[in-house]
Parts: sequence; C-alpha cells; structure tokens
Amino acid sequence: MRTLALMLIAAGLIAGCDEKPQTVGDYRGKTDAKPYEANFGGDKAKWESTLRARNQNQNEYKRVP
Amino acid sequence: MARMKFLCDAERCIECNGCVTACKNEHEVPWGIQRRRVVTLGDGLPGEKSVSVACMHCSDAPCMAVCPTDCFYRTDEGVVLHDKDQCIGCGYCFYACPFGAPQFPQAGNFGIRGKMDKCTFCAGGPEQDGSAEENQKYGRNRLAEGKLPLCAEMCSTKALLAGDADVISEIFRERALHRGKGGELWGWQQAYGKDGAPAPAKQEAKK
Repeated sequence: MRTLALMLIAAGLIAGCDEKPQTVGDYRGKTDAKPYEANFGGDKAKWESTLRARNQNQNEYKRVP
Repeated sequence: MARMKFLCDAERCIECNGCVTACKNEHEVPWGIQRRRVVTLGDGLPGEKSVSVACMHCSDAPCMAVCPTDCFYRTDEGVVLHDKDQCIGCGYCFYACPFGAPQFPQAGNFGIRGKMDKCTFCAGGPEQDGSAEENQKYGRNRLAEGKLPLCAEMCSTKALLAGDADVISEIFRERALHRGKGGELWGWQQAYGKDGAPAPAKQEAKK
C-alpha cells in the first residue's frame, strides 16, 4: 500500500516535468513537400551531403588553410 | 536531420546590411517589409555591436502557439513556415514574437494589414517547390536547391552563419579559438546576466 502511494506521488511529481506542446491546434494549412523531392529525386542523403558541403563554405579555416 | 538555425557573430558584423539587401533582392520583398534587419546597440559609442536579426526559427515558436488559424508548421529541418492562404493577418504572431520577425504589408488605403510575411530560411512555403506560385508568395526556395539562405552566404565577413545548428556552432567555436576571444555568444550575458550578475549598465555618450 505504501509502495503504491509512493509510486503515485513519484508519478505525480514526474508529470510536472512533462513538456506540453505549445500549439493550440494542429496545422491546418496545405501540406509541404520535403525539400529533397523536387531537385534531388527524393534522395535525402544526397541533399544532406550537399548542404553539409555548402555549410563548410562558411568556414574560412577550412577554405584557406 | 539537422536543426536549421542562424547564428550571428557580433565580433564580425560590420553593419554593412549586405544580408538585408541580399534577402530583399532574392525574394523580391516589397517596400515596407523587412524580413531581416541589422540592429546596432550602443551606436556611436566605443564597443558598439551589430547583430543581424530575422526569424530565429524557434524550437518552441510563440507565433505558432498564438496563431488562431493554426497556419504555422515546422519542417523536419526545424524551419518555421506558414501557409499564407490560411493567414488572416490578425497580427497576434507579431505581438508574440520576441524578435519582431512577422511583417505585415499594408494591403489597403486604410492601414489594413495584409497576410503575414517573414523569413522562410529560404525554404519557400507549402506550394510546389520551385514553382512560380511559391516564389510569388514566399520567395525563392534555395533549401530545395541544396543551397543555404542567401543572407548568410552573401555575408562579407561571414558574421552571419546559417545551417545545421551543430555544424555552425562548431564553425563558430573554431573561429573563437583561433581569434582567442568572443567565444561567448553576444547577447546572452546582456539578457540573462552571468552567474546572476546584473546586465552591464548603459554607457552614456561623452558630450
């Protein structure tokens, strides 16, 4: 009985740490396509590697040793 | 996948407004709409700092929380976008946003607000990627072309970084190590204080 009460208290305390979604409702607009569908033929890995390479263009320590 | 974020290095920003111009031109943003702007604090005082501000694509976006028509959505990459066909131009998102990102075009002669416009992280909107309709409503979709936001790519001093949060924070870290200062992100201490210390007092201009 005591264990059950402790478990209930613990569950109640943990519930306070829960993060609730901030949105009032769900998105009600049109569905958007994935960014890799139009120009990368749905190849997500290829799109990601392109972006990763592009990202490193911002790092001059990689561009100019 | 990545969480797309902007990061502005205030040690490098020279207030050239290149990012603002790049954004305006790339998306053919109309007069009166500022998707991005450069804010200078302590202007004219020694140690003034500039920082380029646009939609920060918040992980817990307040605009999303207050929208009465639920027109906002977050992509898998963490970019906060909205459907203009769903927007009623109420302006709640403008009041909720701490960065002043949502912009409203004047739609009529009596100050009527048009549909909200904001930075899209160059990711377009819920129209067919690369279509004329998407371009007209939201601007160019560079992300679908495998490119990063033009504001960051055009930045002359590479103060503004855009991309996967992990990658750009690593670039920033490496940079801070090389120059030996400015490792802390500017604005954090001013906003929250360090170890409970109050924010530094405002410097008065010498007369």
